[in-house]
Amino acid sequence: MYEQVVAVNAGIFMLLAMSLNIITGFAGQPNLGHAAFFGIGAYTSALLVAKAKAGFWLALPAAGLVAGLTGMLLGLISVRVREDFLAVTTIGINFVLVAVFQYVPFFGASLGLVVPPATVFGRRLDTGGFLILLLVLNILVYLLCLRVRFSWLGLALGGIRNDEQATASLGYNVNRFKVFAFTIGTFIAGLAGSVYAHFMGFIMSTDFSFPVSVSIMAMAVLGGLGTISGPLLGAAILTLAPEIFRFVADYRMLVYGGLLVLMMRFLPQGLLGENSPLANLLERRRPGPAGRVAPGGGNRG
Amino acid sequence: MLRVENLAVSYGRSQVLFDVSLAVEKGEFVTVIGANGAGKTTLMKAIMGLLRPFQGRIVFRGEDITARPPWYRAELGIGYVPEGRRVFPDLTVEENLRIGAWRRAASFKRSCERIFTIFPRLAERRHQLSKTLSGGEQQMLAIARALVLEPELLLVDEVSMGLMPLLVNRSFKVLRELNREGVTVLLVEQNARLALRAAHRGYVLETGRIVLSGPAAELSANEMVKKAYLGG
Ligand SMILES: Nc1ncnc2c1ncn2[C@@H]1O[C@H](COP(=O)(O)OP(=O)(O)OP(=O)(O)O)[C@@H](O)[C@H]1O
Ligand SMILES: [Mg+2]
Repeated sequence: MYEQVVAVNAGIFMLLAMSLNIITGFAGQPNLGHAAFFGIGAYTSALLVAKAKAGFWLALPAAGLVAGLTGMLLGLISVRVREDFLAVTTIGINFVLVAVFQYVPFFGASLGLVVPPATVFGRRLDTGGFLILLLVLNILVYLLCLRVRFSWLGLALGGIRNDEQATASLGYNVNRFKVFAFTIGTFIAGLAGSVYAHFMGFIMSTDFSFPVSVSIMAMAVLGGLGTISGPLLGAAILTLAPEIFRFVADYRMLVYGGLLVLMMRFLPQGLLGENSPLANLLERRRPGPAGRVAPGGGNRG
Repeated sequence: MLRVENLAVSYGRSQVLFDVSLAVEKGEFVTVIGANGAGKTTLMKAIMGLLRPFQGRIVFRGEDITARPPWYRAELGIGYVPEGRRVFPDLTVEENLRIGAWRRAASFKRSCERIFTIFPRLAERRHQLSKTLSGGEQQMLAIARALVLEPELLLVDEVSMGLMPLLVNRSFKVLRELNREGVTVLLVEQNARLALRAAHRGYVLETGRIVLSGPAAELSANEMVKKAYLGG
């Protein structure tokens, strides 16, 4: 039972890390407020089920949609501001949102919100059920990431990450692609929020505060921004570590924040990033000619 | 084909281009020469739409594109080779080319073949990350990338910068060949000697103003140009 709870937590953060990777890894857009969209999904779903008596299966996609639409707004802002401002803007959004959840009575204010359980065919979704749901969602998002990465879209996002002006000069409406990355990424975060809310049965503003955004970023960076599997590995490691090592649990924010700094300094491409020791090890084991074979794939994940 | 009329551009409060006018006819090879900081890159970016001028017009093939975004200009047939060999470093050579073929998937194979005959070295290195290419190869890739869109007008921002003389010569040769094949070229260059040798016509840009223009041979013979740009 305890293991299952840990696994659910890991599954939720895998979704979050993969979705942040679409925005920051694929498209190269800073986002230090991803937890805000996680929160929007959670509150949307909780309120829909608790107040509007909607079913979980309606609330889940609705949570994604509301988060995705908010993310689209952020994307529209992002095309107007410089990158460094955007990082600050996303942090600001995170703080504002937490404040809204914290002080507006409609959102339960400081008492938080009790979330009705999710049901399937009248039966309550138990931990095992949530695990299956998360497995399905993770597989779908993983396939989406693969799909995006190896399509025109992925190529365009890679171009934007590398050099926005050059990409624009090749006929790409750069802004539209950025907004798209924000929309997709935040939509997935909203889905994760919905699952989280109904699994926990109780949510409050601090569940979605800035330190959570930092954790998600640490996971994506640890595994490797821009890679396909990196965020999964990063999320797995950083959700399991506090369960195994007491000191990580006690000093969670210190460890995650410190890790982020150390990674940026010593292994910015992440554990599964190009030319990282781990990626090289995996690469050497793989048969076939040296170097990059798959178009655009290679050892990037 | 391209008309720039009374263009003025500033970064914040400092004005960089003043009342710049120039024209490029179909099939021509035109160069704008100018020293460091004269405003050559600024001019190219304004023509491509990466900077917004506060005065003046840009007309391409009869259409006023002054307010159009860069991607629209690319679709109309303007290709852009940015300064400093700005290829996409963590994409492979082939990806660098394929990214330009977004709306041209059908003709990509053909244009790729054409590009690889012009630049055989790129064919050998097609699966390599472009940041592992040498400076000269990156310059070739930057040109090749723009060619994928089969532009009618190619804007080139300095091919000589930071390359050894042999490679500079080769780059110029490639541009001349492309021009012979029908691509109209507008090249901004610091290396006035080579640029004027390659081009039909030229303009001299000095601290943001066009101070002289004419056939390349005439400019090469001009005393002021000789003194300032050709080393006496
Ligand atoms: N982003 C910017 N912000 C402010 N000033 C700028 C900016 N870019 C260029 N400038 C200034 O504008 C002037 C012209 O710059 P530009 O890059 O167009 O010159 P250039 O002729 O291309 O020079 P170079 O031969 O060194 O490439 C310079 O004085 C430069 O300092
Ligand atoms: Mg320049």
